[in-house]
Amino acid sequence: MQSDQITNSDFNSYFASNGSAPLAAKEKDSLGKLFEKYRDSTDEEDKTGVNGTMRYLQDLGLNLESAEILVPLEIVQAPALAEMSKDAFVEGWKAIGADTIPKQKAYVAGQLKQLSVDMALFKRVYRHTFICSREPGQKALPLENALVYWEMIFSEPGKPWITGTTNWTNLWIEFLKANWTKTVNKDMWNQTFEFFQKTMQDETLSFWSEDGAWPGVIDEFVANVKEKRGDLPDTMETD
Amino acid sequence: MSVATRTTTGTQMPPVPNREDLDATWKYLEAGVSKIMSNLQEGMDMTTYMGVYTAVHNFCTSQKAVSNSNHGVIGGAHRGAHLLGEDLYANLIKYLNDYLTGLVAESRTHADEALLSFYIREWDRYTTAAKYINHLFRYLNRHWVKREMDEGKKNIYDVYTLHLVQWRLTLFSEVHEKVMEAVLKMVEKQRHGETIEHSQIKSIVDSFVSLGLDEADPTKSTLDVYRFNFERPFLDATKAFYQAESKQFVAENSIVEYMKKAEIRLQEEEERVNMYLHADIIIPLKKCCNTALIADHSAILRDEFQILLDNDRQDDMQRMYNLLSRIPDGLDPLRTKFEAHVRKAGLAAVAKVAVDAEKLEPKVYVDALLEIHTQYQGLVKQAFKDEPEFTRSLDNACREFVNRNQVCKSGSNKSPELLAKYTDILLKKSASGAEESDLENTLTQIMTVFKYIEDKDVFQKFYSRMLARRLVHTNSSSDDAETSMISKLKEACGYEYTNKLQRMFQDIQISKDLNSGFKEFESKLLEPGDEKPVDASYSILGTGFWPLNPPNTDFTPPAEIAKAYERFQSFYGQKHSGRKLTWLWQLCKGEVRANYCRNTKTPYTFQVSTYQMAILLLFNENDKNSYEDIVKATQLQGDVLDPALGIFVKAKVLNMTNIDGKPIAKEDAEKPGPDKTFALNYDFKSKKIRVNLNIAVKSEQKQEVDDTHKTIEEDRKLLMQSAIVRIMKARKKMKHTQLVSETINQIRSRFVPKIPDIKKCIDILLEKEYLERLDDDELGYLA
Repeated sequence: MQSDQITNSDFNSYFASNGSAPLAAKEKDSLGKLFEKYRDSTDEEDKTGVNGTMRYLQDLGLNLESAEILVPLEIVQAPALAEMSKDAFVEGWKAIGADTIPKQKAYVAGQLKQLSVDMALFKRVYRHTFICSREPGQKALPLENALVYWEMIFSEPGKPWITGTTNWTNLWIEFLKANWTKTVNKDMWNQTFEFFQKTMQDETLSFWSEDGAWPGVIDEFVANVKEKRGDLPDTMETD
Repeated sequence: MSVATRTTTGTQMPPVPNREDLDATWKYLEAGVSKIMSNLQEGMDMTTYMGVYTAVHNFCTSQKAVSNSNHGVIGGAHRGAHLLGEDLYANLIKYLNDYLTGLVAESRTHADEALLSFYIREWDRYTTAAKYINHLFRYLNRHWVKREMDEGKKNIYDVYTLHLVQWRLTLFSEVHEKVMEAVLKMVEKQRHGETIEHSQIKSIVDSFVSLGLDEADPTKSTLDVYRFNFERPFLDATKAFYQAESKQFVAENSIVEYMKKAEIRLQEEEERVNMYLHADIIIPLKKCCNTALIADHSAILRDEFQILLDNDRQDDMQRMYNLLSRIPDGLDPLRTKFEAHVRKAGLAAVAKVAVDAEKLEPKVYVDALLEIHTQYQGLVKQAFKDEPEFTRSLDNACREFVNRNQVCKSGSNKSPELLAKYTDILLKKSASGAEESDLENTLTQIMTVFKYIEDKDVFQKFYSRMLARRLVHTNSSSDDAETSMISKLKEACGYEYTNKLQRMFQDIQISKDLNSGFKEFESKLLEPGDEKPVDASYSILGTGFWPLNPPNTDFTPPAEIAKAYERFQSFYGQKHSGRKLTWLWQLCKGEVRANYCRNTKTPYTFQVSTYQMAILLLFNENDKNSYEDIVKATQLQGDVLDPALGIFVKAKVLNMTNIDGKPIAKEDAEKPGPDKTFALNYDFKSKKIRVNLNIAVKSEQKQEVDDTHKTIEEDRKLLMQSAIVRIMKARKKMKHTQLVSETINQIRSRFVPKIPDIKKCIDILLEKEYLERLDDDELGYLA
């Protein structure tokens, strides 16, 4: 969790230095009021529940079934898919300088256009997806959930994980369904992104080596892909 | 001036000259010198000797000696007193020149050995004379020559050296080639087996060496003349000779014959140096011979090596080793071939015994490994002089075939398992009762194989389980052998490796004392008239050290022993309060006497497990017990009870029937289970009075092996994880690849971890948040 917060503050300062003026203290109030609009009376203090959060995302004009919602959820550092906390909401939007729904809607729309191009943005959203899709109190994602989110984020408006000859998302999901019985932990989730980036640059997998820092599951996946492709057996086979 | 020849006789000395008259003086001196040079053997009278000496002295010290001679050699005699010697010096040179020119002319009439004789004779005469003349001209040496040399004049020598210089300039330069030719001819004759007078060559060598004068410092000699005029042509001729000879020999003979020949030739050349050559030639001559005789043929020699190996021709291999060790990098290809050959031999030996890997006897397997090792270690010792590099090749080959062979197909853990089993067989009490010293030897051999085992942890695991069994069942053949084996393992792998083994051993020793303590304690408890307690002994085993688990079945011990063990429990509780005793019933055993059998006078004694004892004792109450009765009374679970009953049924101690009286199907004849009834067989018969019924069932043993392997896998994971954590704790941050290789290094002495396994452990530690992933393939330690 700690490293994610660091990412977030980096991101804040990135935008702060990028020209958009942070809001002053009184505008903090307007964000607070905006937040309260979405908090139902039955919700805990300073938190929105399922209904409020969904309403908010709809108000931003987003398709709840797509990766679109992951962008604002990252901005407000949502601790879960259907939950927002007031502090993070206010902090997140304050740094960007958008204190009304129209402003926020416009900003999110702009980010969505960038999502498949700006890899730093895509990585932030990807990493946060793991955090907000976990069940409360769990450290890892059940495999079936992880598969859903991978499918979601590796398709429009996210960056599809497809290269010239290979639909990596399909291969990955197929492989995990057949061979992976455990949950998906944070390291596996994050390293999958690193692997995604590498394969997008080099679909021959020549970057991969057994001695590399890849988690075991990715080593096994590589062996699996190579076998399917009919590459010469390499050292993994000796196992 | 007349040419001095040996025919000039010195009997008629000219008159003693005026000290200032050079011509007269020289005439007088020349006659003397000539006499010494040509006729020394006739002797020289004291008068003449003194006369010559005095004439030199007088002339050199005369103030105004004037030369009235006009021959050209001498000039400037009038230039001053200190130059007076120069005239004499020049005249001497001229005399020597003339004398030597005469010798050169005479030498032309000789060839070959005659020339050598001539050269040596003249050399001896000349050098002997030179010594005398040097003496006669001492005054010249001491004054004029010394002064000239002090002034740094070049080419001025004392009179003796002057003789040598002149010899070299005049005679040697003309004849040395022919002399050398003659020498080489003689040497070739000798190489062809003829006898030669080699003292002649020695004299020639000495002469050549004497002629080496250091131009910079005439008092020192150098080997330049010798090296250039003797050594060089000698080496060239040697090389040519052996190149031609070896080429022909190899074409006409086998390689083995050639090696013998080459060996003899090399030996001969070494002797040649001792006999008549200058020691300086040893190294270049060796090199020259090595090249012509070995290096030029190294390829065909090496090709032969495989054949020699295949036929175990030790002597020839030793010959080849000796030859090839003489040339640079000569042995490397042999080592490679040797290593491959030993590995192949090892694999073949294993394949031969591994026809049925499941039934493979540990002894047969280990003997097969040892046989190959012993054979080739012997070869290394015999043929390769125990050379360390060959020993290393042997080790590499053995490590390969010990860990990766047909028996180890599924993994390298089969070898340590079989080795441990063999050790167990050796250390167990057996009927054959091997001699103590034999046993010690065999244990040493076990260690030879152990050294090559990569999965030392597997050996440790099996060994400790078997040691535990030997100790618990007190069927170890000797304490000394046990201790010896443990200390051998400790020496090989360190304290940590054997720590638990040692503690197990200690526990047993401590238990012995404890038992005698208990006996005392128990005897005090008993009132007179009480029943004699069960004679029992107890082993107290520290939980952490023994590879033993509590029983996995419930058990109600029979009342007959309950009292005894409860007493022990209270005794132990008093001694060590707070310690918890867990009874490992599955390991307990005892003996019961069967007084009921009809067919024998002496009652049988049954050796049984405590579980079996509990079953049998039920028959004290009833002759018949149903399966269900037995379960109820003992609380034993089926997987323990059934085999125990099975043995009784099979041994006909108990007769089994169906509870409803129907006959038992044949295939179920030895399968106890529910709805069966067991009756005591009063007609039990056995050839032995003591009947061992405490037999482990095959399937149990196999189960145990599988369990052991499983725990090894678990232990390895823990070992790798703890190594990773230890490394990361020390380093805080580390690159992934570095961490992997460091982990391998730390663990290698126990087993060789596979990289994917290490990575899996890293994954686990990441998940458990002992580690975190930083940027750039770097991992961080989380406290």
